[in-house]
Amino acid sequence: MKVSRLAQDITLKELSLGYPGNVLMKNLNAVLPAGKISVILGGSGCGKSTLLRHILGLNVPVSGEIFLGDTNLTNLKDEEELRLLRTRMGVLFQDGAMLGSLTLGENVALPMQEHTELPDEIIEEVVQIKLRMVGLGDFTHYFPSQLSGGMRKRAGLARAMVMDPTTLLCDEPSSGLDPISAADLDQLILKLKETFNVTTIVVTHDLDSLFNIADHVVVLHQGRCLYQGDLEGLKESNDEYLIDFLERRPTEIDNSMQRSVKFRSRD
Amino acid sequence: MKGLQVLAWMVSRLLGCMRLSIKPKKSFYRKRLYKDLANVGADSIPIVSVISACTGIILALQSAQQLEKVGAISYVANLVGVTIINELGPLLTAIIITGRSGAAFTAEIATMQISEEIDALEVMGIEPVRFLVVPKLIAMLIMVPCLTVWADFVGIVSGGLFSSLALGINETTYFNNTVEFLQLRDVFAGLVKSGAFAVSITVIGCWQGFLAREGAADVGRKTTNSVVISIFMIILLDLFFTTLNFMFR
Repeated sequence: MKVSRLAQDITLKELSLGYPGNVLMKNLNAVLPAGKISVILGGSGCGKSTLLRHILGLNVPVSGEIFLGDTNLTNLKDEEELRLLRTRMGVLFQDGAMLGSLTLGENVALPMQEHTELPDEIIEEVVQIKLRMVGLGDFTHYFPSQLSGGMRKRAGLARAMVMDPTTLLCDEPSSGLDPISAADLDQLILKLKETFNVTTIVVTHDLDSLFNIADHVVVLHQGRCLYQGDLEGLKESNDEYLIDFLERRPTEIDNSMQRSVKFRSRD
Repeated sequence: MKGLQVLAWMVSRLLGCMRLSIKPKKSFYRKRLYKDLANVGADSIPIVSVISACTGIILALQSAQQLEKVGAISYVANLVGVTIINELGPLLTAIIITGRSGAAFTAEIATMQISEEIDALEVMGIEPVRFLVVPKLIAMLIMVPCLTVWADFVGIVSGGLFSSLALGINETTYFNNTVEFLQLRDVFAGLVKSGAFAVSITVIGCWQGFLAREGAADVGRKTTNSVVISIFMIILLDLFFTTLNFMFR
């Protein structure tokens, strides 16, 4: 199997996903365009991260297909093929998922040590370049536990980019970060897209991130794709849920709280 | 059912990558192996020594009490030697290693599972079983038999010293009796047992770690399970090997 070194579209065709007895999403169709930042947006628990896990091949869909360019990811029988494809994908997990027993430098070097025969000195050089790229050049010998959440995420991004992937997947990059760190991370994602022309998929529910980075938006709600298109289209949408979401309007919890207050005031 | 699926997945991957991992070319696999060798082996020496020394003394005391009644106190050496080499050396070492290393394996892998580190390894194209389990298994297969030999030595020596100081048995007689009575076969049987215990502790420890799913509380639950199942398996294996040894004596 040949793995392309160019950014490619990711296509979801009639994708149903979830777990046995609990289908989270039915017949999802979407195209995440090559070389652009696609933001997958939706409320908590709507299946955004699950979708990301399916794209990565960590979960198997209930039905439907996922294509990276012309390669059907759901059809890969050979583990070696999947391994090869994954070398072209970089992933930033929600909390960075840096290995706690390794230093930052060792963490970032890991994919290169596994997949290349390069001498250690060259790997160290590349690791330094990637860590400097995310502003952590002086932290090579630090352990992940010695860093702040934002730094861990930036280190995760350096590790995701160390093999120069064609696809970058980020799971809630701004969650748990202060607004400045979150904005820094957004700028970093934008810079990476512009410099390396990677197809970037960002799963988030952070609206500031959405408006900062998105070229393309997919909104998931109640097991289906509610919207896909550009930011302008999203802002002009008349869908009630989208308007609520974009205007940060509280819904059920707020109503039930008001009912509960009324009930108590009657006593 | 899920547990058995995960066990089958882990064992099949373990068998798949064993051939490649006997001579790990990549430096980071070697580093992990050295780290595990130190964790399992060197770090366990103090606790194994103390427990073996106490066991040697307890055995000498218990057997002296009984043998004195029939005027056969010089046989203390034989009893201590045989019991330690055949049974208590391998068994106690395995139980200590279960508590120290088996529990640590489970906690480490379970924590990595919950913090998505195992997923991160998968998506980096790094085989988690090769990265995490194989170095531990190799370290255990090397270190548990070594620690068993050490425990045997400490147990016999402490039993001998105690017998000479407190029971008045001449130490030369004690050690001569031990050497005369023990056979190389006994030591070999103990080592085979300890190798089997090492495999069992590692597989159970890592398996339970991979099973963790539900947050920090699950790390504790799986660690407890790992220790309980490992000790149960050690006793079963001990019964199996002792019976086998008895049948082919």
